[in-house]
Amino acid sequence: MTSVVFDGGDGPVGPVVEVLAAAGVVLGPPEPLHRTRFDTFDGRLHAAGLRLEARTVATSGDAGHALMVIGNDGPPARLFLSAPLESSRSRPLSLASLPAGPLRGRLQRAAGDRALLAQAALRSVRSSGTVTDDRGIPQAIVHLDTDLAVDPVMTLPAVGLSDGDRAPSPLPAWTVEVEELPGRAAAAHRLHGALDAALRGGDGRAPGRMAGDALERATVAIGLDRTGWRGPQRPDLERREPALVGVRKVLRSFADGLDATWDGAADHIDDEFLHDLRIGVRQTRSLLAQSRGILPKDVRAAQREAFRWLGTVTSPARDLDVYVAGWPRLTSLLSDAEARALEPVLAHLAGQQAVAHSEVALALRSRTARQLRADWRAWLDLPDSEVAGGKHATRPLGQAIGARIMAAQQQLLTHGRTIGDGSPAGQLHELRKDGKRLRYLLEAFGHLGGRKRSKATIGHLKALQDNLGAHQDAEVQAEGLRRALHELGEEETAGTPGEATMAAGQRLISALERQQAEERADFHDRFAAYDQKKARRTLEELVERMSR
Amino acid sequence: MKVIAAASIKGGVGKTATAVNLAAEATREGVRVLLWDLDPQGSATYLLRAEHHLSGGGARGLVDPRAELAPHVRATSVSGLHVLPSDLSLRFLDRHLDAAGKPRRRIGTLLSPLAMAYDLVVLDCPPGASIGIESAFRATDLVVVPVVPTTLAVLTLTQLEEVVAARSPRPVLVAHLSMLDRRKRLQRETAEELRQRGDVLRTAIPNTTGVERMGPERAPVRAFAPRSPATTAYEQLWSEVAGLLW
Repeated sequence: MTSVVFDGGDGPVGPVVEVLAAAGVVLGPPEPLHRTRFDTFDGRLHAAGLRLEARTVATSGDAGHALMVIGNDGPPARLFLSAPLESSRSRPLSLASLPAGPLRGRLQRAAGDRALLAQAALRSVRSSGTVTDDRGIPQAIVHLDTDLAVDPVMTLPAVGLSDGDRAPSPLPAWTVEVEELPGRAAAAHRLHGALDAALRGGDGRAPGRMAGDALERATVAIGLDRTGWRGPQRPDLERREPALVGVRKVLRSFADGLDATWDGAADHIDDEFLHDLRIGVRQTRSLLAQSRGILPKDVRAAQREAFRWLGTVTSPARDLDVYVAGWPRLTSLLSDAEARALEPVLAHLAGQQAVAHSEVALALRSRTARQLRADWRAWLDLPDSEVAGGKHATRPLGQAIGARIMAAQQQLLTHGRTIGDGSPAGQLHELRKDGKRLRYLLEAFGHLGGRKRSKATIGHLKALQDNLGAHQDAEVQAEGLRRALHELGEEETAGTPGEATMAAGQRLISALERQQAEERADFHDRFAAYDQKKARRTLEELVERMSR
Repeated sequence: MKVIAAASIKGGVGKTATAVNLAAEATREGVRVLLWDLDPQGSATYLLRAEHHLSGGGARGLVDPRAELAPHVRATSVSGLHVLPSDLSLRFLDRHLDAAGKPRRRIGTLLSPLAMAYDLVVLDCPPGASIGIESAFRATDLVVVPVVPTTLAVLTLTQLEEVVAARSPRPVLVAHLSMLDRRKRLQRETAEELRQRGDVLRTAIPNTTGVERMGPERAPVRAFAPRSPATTAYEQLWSEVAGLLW
């Protein structure tokens, strides 16, 4: 189903009504219409070719409130509701509150684990009509929207969603939307032609039109990027620019990522906000650590401390998010009865998760956090000429970072080569941290040595990191489960966990230990693959090119 | 995509009313519905204000091995409900299915490319138990049989059950009471007997003027009588059917 919306600019509505009447469109009575557009923060519905919209018609007797899913194929899906949907910035649309069925299923598949947020709301007065042939058979549907006004957007800061390439523009005085009906393209095209001809300006310019409808037109007008948040924009780096300048550019892009996800993490809109925030924190910490001699000593020391705090206060909530979200996969290692027996453990973890998120909210909204962001942004926004860096600040970026990449690689290889069958698990965990340090450098700067080489090197490293990650996850999950079982036993109100819960817990711990052992057995092969001469040479060539 | 078929060996039992109203109720629940009018009479096509005409060679073109259904789909007066209209050439559907090869698989094969566009296909079947009906049943998840509570109608329900039982894969078959006139004692008694069976849904569609007015109104009953007992009954019937599908 395709729709085209014509834009009335600031012209009067009279001529368009005449054109529609001449085309045989009998418009119904005008009705106030309120529409709210929903999508995930990262635009998953848009990517899946879907648009989700809540509608309220103020004066319609039967069809007061509806949820609509409009796709590129098939008819729009419309779910009538008995009450308007409740949604706010911190309370996204709850799919669980919708009836089970294909509409909910489609939205769940497209949105995955991300929350559906109100992004833009439009008020208008709408008159609709159907173009029919002389037998009364529908040929096209027309909607005329006047008095368009965008409601205060209930969404997250515009930093994440504004379309930087398109400045907000005023809404048109009216729009006409022509809905093409299946098998009736000719009728819709005839109407397009009539509107085009009648609305052409005195200078011969065609009227504004776009695929979509009045709400999509409004989202464009307010500058909403319908593709959603795709992470901070990668800065333009030059191999030969001063290291201080390049590093500050990258730190600024990390800070943009933090700004975009900060409020969503504080409100716990969905788990991914905190996840993305923590990635930004880790990347920042890692680059601060790697920037010795490039950044000013005092700034580096203060910010390392500040970001260490930020990492610490957000860590428990993220660990619990992973645990709770991954619970179905985790308990799939058990029988159904055993999984049911572990439900008290899940409830216990979910309780801890809620507490941990309250602590994150407090921390992220604290004076300390506000100060941290303000100080950091103020320093990042200083002109480069006003920042005195360390002794390597003026070194070419490619050379300075290339040397650090080689050092990180050397440290990883040295540590990895010392790990034997009897080495403690903690040594693998430390190796994983070495790998992350290297990976963050490669992800931020590796393309200076060629995108293809950089991608290949990151790919080699990822294969090793996946193994180390799975090893570490199994260890953390087993330890978390032991702790949760112990805590459940300590809770006076809940009483001790039943025998079935304890037995299922022990079974799951054993399964996780087996998984960890399997990953451990794989480690040597994975590390040997990473430590191959050819893989090492790729990274050396990358650094060579960066340093030219 | 789920497929239901409104079917009965007997004519005049309310198959089209069931198909059209279930399809219309489903659209209110956010289901994208295609109603395929397989009956050459084209009653569903008429009620949904579509043209009683199949372009491109009629039924023969429709079931041709190279054919696609999508170009034949039309909008209806109900938002979210599309129709694949009928025309008189469908009276030769069996012959054309036979000529196209693998006649019992043909309807399923034709429907499969539409799986992304629709959540539900409602087949409005003509009366009888022809090859076309068997082809429809092969593609169907659920056969819904309207039964007027009279002795002869109950007999044809049993006959249709035999047709379905012989199919592999076998769709689920459920019946619902149709055109129930509670003033008639015999109908009340037959209805009670039918309700003892495991395959009869709880909802009964009353014999009201609301359903009869669908003809002159050319619309599902909710469109012109949203608070009528018939609308409530079809809403409940859809709720029962949806529970069996999802």
